[in-house]
Amino acid sequence: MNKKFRLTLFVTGQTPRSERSIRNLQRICAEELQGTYEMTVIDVVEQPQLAEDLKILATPTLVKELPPPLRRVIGDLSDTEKVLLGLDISRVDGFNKETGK
Amino acid sequence: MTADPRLQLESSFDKGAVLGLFSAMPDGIVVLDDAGVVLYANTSAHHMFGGRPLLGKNLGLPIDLGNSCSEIESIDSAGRIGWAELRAVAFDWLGQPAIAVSLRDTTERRALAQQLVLAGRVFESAREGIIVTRPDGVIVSVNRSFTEITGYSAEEALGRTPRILKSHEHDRAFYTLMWKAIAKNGFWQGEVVNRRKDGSLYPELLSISRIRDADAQVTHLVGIFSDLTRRKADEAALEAAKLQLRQSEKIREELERREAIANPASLSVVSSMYSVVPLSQSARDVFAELVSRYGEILALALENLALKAENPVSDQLRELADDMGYLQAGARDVAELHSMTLANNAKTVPPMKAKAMIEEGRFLVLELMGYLVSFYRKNYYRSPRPLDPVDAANSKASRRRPKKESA
Repeated sequence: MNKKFRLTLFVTGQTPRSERSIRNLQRICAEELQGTYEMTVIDVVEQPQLAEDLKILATPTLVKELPPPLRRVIGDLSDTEKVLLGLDISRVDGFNKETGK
Repeated sequence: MTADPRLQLESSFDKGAVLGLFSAMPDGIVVLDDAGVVLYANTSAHHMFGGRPLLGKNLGLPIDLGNSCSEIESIDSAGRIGWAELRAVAFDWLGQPAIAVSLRDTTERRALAQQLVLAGRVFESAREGIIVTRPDGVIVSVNRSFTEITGYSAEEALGRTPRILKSHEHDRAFYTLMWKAIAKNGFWQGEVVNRRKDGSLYPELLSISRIRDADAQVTHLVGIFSDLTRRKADEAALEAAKLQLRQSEKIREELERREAIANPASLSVVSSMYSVVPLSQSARDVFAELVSRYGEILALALENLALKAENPVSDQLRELADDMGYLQAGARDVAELHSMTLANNAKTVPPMKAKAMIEEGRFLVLELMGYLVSFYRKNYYRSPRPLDPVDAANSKASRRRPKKESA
């Protein structure tokens, strides 16, 4: 239960698509991670060096640094289930149910 | 049954041949392991990421697997952004679970689409009316301003030709020249009077250009026009106002000059010597009659000029001069008569006519003066006797200080 999620979202410019990705991630964090997260958004247009250092090849890329393992997913964040699966995060409510048993 | 899957694969699948196929594909092909790390990337994929090394780099696991595709931005080694459609499927790559990713570069398509959107917006938002026709003249597209100016909706205009706007104000030669210019230079510009849907005419500034495709074939003609109705009206009003201003200034200047001559306050030395009282003051009614007669003569003179009439202007002028002579009128009276007549006219006749009267009046007043001089030559053998005889030798001094001298 003390799991802390550290997520970084890389987007390109302040486009409607970038904003949609940010909103989707905010929704996933709020609904699924229940306050135990740290979320950063990086615009690769504004901070190209940071993207280069982290070898970000494309956007939107979502990186999960914590908890391990490190995971990167790429693409549309609208489907919560697929995002969680990609990041190797089991749903918190599912997790609760399991521990409750 | 128990065969190693890798052996099975190798027997039916020549890796080199497949990779050769991949490298020839225009789309980017990338193989990822189950953590998103690149196991293989073809030439096109390397190209999309600016030639940077991809093997062993973590692209990230595609969120969507299967038939759906997602839009991603690719970042090349120089930080340039491109756009691509990403499709991914899970498959088995040389015996390990992997993901095959195809990337279709949409950068150019996107730029083209954006350009099209921009062109469309320019077309629709232009204040000028725009007509696009096929080479045979059939209208294929019009913009909003076209409808606003001509009254024809797009639906009404499409499929017809610009002849729906023809006003019959121009002859066949006009259009022949226009089409010749378009054929020769690919361009024509000029003013055209066209007819709106409601039948009213309007002037427009029209430019017609030919549009050619990559093979230099004329595919379309584009006409761009702006409604000149408002500008024409403004120009005409401005010109009229300028003309009126110029004329009224001229009239005012002329009247001021005449008045300066006739003004009793600036009586000439000679007339003050003879202490002649102006006719306008000594015989007001008679002078008014003279003004009216002179005015009529002026009108007749103008008629002669404008209508080539043969009114006996000179005879009447001579009679007038004789009458003035009998009244002992002087040059100043003639000037005052002339000035007052013009002043009266300026109040009653239109500016154009008043201006013409001023022009013609210059000759008339000279002629009148001439007749008056000849009247005096004929009827007086010596000058009228001054009331205060002045010695010619010291006339200057006596005029300056007459009182002091007498004292």
